[in-house]
Amino acid sequence: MTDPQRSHEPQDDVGDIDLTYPATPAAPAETTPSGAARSPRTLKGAAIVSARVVTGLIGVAVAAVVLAATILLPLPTLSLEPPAVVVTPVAAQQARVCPGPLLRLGDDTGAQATTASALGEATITSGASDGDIAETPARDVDGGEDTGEIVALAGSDEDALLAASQSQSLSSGDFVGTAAAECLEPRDDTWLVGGATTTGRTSILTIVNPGEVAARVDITVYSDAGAVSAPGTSGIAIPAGEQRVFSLAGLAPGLSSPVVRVQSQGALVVATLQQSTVRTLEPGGLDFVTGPAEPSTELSIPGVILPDPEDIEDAISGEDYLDLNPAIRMFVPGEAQAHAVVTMVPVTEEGESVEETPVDISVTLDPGRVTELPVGGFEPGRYVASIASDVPIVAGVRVATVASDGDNDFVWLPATQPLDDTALLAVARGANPVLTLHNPGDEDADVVLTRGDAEAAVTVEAGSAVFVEVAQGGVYTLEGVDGMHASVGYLSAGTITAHSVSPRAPSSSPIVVYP
Amino acid sequence: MRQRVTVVLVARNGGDTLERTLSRLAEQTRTPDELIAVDVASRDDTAALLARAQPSQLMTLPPRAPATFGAAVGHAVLGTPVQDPDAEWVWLLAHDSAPHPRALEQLLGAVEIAPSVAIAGPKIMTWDRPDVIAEFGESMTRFGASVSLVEGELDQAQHDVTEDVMGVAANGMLVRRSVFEALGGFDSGLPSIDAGLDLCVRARLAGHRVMVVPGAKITALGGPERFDGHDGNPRRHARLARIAQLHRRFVYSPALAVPVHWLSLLPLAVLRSIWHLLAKRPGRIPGEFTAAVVAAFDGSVPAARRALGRARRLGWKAIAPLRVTAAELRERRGQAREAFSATGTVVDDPRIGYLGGGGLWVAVFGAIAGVIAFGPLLTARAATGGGLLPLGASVGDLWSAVGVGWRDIGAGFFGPADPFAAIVAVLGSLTFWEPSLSIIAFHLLALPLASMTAWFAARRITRSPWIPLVASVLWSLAPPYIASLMSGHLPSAIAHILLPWFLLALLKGARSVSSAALAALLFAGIAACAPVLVPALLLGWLAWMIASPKGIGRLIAMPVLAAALFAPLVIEQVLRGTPLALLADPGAPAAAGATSGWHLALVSASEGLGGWTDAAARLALPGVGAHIIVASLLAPVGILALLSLVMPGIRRAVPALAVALLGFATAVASTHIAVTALGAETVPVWPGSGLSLFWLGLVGAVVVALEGLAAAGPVVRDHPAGGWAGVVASLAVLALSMPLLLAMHLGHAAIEPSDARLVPAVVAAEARTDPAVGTLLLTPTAEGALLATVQRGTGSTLEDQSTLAATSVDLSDDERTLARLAGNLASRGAYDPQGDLEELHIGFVVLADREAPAAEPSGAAQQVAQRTIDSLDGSADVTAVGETDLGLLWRIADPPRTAPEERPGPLDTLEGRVVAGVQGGIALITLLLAVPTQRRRPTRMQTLGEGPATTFDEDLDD
Repeated sequence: MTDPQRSHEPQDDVGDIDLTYPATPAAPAETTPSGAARSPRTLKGAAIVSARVVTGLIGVAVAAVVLAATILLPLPTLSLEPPAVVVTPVAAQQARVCPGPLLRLGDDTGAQATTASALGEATITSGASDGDIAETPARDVDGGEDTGEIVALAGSDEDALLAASQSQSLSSGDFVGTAAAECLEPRDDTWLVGGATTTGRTSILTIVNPGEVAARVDITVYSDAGAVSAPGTSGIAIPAGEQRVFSLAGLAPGLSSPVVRVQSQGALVVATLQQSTVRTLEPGGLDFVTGPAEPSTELSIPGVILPDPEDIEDAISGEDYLDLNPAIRMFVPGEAQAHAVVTMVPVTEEGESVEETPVDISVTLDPGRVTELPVGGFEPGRYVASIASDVPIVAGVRVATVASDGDNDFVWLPATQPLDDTALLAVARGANPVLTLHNPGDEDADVVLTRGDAEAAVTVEAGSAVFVEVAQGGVYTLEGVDGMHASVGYLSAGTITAHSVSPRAPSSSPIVVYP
Repeated sequence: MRQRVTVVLVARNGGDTLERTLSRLAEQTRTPDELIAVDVASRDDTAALLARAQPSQLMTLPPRAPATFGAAVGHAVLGTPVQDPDAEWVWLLAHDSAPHPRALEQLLGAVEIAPSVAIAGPKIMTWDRPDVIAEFGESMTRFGASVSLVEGELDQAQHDVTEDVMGVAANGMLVRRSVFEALGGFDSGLPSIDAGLDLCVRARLAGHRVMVVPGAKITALGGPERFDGHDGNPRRHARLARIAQLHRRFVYSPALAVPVHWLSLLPLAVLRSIWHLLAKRPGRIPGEFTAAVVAAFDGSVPAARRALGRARRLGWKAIAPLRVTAAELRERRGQAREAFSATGTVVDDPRIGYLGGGGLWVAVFGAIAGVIAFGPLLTARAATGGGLLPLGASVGDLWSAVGVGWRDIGAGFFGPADPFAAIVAVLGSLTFWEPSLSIIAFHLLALPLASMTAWFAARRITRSPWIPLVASVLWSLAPPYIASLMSGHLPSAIAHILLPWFLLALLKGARSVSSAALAALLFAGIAACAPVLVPALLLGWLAWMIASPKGIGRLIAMPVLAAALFAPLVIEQVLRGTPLALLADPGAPAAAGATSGWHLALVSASEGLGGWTDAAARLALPGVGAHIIVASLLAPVGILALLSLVMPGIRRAVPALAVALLGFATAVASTHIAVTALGAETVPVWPGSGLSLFWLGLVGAVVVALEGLAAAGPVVRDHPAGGWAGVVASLAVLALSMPLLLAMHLGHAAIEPSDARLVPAVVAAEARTDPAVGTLLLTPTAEGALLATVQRGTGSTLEDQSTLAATSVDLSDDERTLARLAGNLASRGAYDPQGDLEELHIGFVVLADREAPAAEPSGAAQQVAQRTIDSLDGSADVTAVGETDLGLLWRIADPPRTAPEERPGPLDTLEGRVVAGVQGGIALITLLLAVPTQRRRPTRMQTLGEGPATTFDEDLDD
């Protein structure tokens, strides 16, 4: 038998092919020499030429149509959206820092003039809408007394409110008067408008770091001549949970109208300034300067109590007494000149109508220099200093009171933060507390004050301010106060003080994250 | 003593041939004494024909006996006992064996003078051509494979000296009856092939001689396997031969060796399958395994071994000299190959060689241009920017990023890798000592590589020596190609190099299995690099199959490898409802300037018209817009391409322009498919890939036009107009690509040299002890959002990139955790990150100071950056490390301690192993088929017109 398949022959394909023209026996049209195409002598040649021309024309037409279609036709685009998540950050644990007792430089004997020591104790009032409040003293870095008090809220729900304030009255030696302050949440940039380092004025800066990491703090002092350069004011390390105390005079002596800025990197801090005045041997009062507000074009300083100018004039017995006059201190942090208008809005009891129209004071502020204006020519009474500016500025008001027996005291009023719809107010234990509510908005506000089961309703008309008497040491819930400013003032014979009412620090805004 | 001769004529459905056989039998000069006709279950007029021949006995096979030649003969011979078997010869004939009138006389004459001869075989001639020997004696190799000693040779008496052989075919055999009876007849385990050889071997071992008788001739139609009426097809023949060989192996081998042989069945089948693949005979692989299975359960072996043992008188050494040696076998194969080649029309190859044709010179100039263009990369350790990233540090890293496993990108997930990861792995393995270098080497060699593939492809479609040079210049300087290289679109650039090669392989694939396999490999490569080209290429493939229906058998499997590589990805994308995302570019997502239809028509893949907007501004060309310059530089190519339609050779011009149209459509579609997320935006598919295909069609048409012009066009200054046109087109494209080529020096290029570090040095040091340590990379965007990514260990390298991640529209749990972590780390608050950090195994946080290179930080981005810095600085959970080249770095104060989540590699899961096995298997088979194993004559080429192209046609067409 045979095997015709030749199985052991190379079975591989020999796929080498030639695709060159003419690859395969082509159509007659293709194999015709092109010479014939150029000079058609025959019918066939003519047909070939015309066929080619037609093909060419079709080709050009197709190209033109495709091009026109791509350029002119609105083609749909398929697009997938990359997935993103809007992350609402977990709100921070609330903590407020109270400045603690008033301080003096040196001890009673006048020795150790660089170290601060406490003068008695401050009374802290605190309240929270939820959770437990814990108070921890801040340890002093330099080994001084642990004066700052950290009021922290734990175990609360996310939108719980925490309020705390402190007050202290002194009448020992050079230190006579009352000083109240609101305990504030830490921040990375604090403007303190107040204080003085001229003769007899002692200003002490306390910086508390209530955070979990160290803070690197820069202190800048501005005067009416511009920024004061001082050594040792930058890169100050404050470990977590600790505080540092500085004498402002040590940084910038001889300033009659300083503005202090405290910036921190790392942890957030609370900076407070306290000023005590002694005129020769006569005590001139004391108070805290806090910085609840940040630079803004719309500032409101509630709680200004203008005294009878005659009482002040009587008390002024020399140049050293000029700072008994009410004054407003302003500073432009930016580069541009500010044109500000100060309006003194009278504060009435609820229901009372305002008889006189508010008086405006226009002022031009140079950037980088502190401007202090006297506030004169107003009827005695309660006012809100409302400032509108074309560039963000900071401001504070100092007023003094003089008793018939010559005792006097002063208060530094800071610009306050606008409140959220609900606010918590802790009234310090001071004499005759009065809450001032300023409604800078365009609509009347119906405010409800709640303390325990007691409720009080107050209507604050648009653009006006009212005052309400409140109870010492009381914790109030204010509702309907969105966008309003508030402060609590304490006035009695020869003593005056006040503190701001601040909303909860805004939590971090939601952020879009593409993972 | 007079010898009796009994003719046993076995017929099965032999109506067509039996008449001739019977008439020749009647013409014998030595009339046989007896004629036993056996009808084996015929369904035609065989029985009637046999009866008309008036045989001495007319038998039919009992119904239960196997319908084989051997069984029929056995039935006839062993079933009719005679008195003196020693004096009787049996002549075995099949229905298609027509003996020469003197055949029996010659056979008998030969055996009469040689008493030791028990079996004599005639010279078997081809049925249709009686002067060609079909078979003349059989033998075996050392391994027992049967070999036909003479086959298909013209009979010029050249083999007539042969006498003693190992065996002869069963058909036409003259055998002494006593011996046949003693041997027990044919082995029932060998129904067709090798039955005669086996009988002869047993006769030899019993001490008899077997010889061929040159003078005795019979003509036969087919081999023994055709006895049952099947036509001869090589696959069936090979299967039957293998079954027969294995059967004989079990019968002949010593008893002790039988288990060894049994165990070797499957491994041998695998090895021989690989051999078949290399020899381009994939069709024989199933038969190989069938044979192994049949042999493994062959019940006829014991009986056959007993029959052999009974008759055996001599040792195997006695027949050793009759075996075919390896040297003889080689020589015979060589002769056969020569004889085969002689049947084709051999012509001298008119085409020019790469060296002589100047192709090498284009490549050399291209290499020089490449070194200049990518000079800044020469001393770098890696190239980054655009879609480029460094590669993993070791080849192992590259290969572990292939297949289905843990994808270490972003928060990480379990899923299939892009097929492009395999390309990266192959590329990186070339410079195994530092994989990133391969990317730099690729850029430096990109121009010569493209010129090379284009040259070879162009040579296939033109005989002119210089037109391939023009094509290779046009191809290597293609604006979309240079744009892809300069913008870090590595996959697109690789696809550009592969495109002409693929075209070539696809066209050749219609006739050649190895070319078809090569086309499959290249298609998979292009698909992996530029999935957006797949629809266009599949259309081309379908069109080519319709145009060459004979090649469908070879071409049909072209997309199989690509399909296997993409299957896991396709399943994932379809399941999550984003099938169009399959078209996304692999590699790192890179910004691609949105381009309008105008830009694409001017072959500009990105904004800036290939650098001409800037160049026109630099050169301060008055009143000449960049688009006018680009359009006029493109004009020669465009005009030539359209001119091809009016030239001879329209059968090449129209397909070329159709390819161009497809490419353009692909490019336009690319710009409208934005599926890859790049930060907060989605970027469209890179149109450079589509434009490459567009350019391929244009260059093809230009080649046709140039050839037409060269042949028929006017002559200008002693040179044909075609030549001038080619030079003008090349120079114009060179000028067109110049701004892009100089992009690295002008500072426009997205790619830049880098030190291959993706994370700050501090992190890299940490990663040495904890390779899974994560770095959270926060990048503020211009819109005030935050991008959060995780770099694991030393960073996400190019092979780690995944289109599955880049085109994701849903967030995994890990990604949500990542977002929560990032958002809170960027915000002051009471969030405790420790749990999330632990879960994601993150040890560092980096605030990247730029979103994209050269992007100006916007106000919103600054705010987000400041907010993040404030938050992280105020957090006790992280410690600031400082400024790094990536941005500000924080270390997690309490680094993750628990071991990170299990990250299975490509072979660690059942799913991964299955995918790797299937993909690897298909790739290996394709590769083996694609390896050119055919010996070529160096200077002569064979053209296969309508001639006997290959025996493979039948192989596939059955």
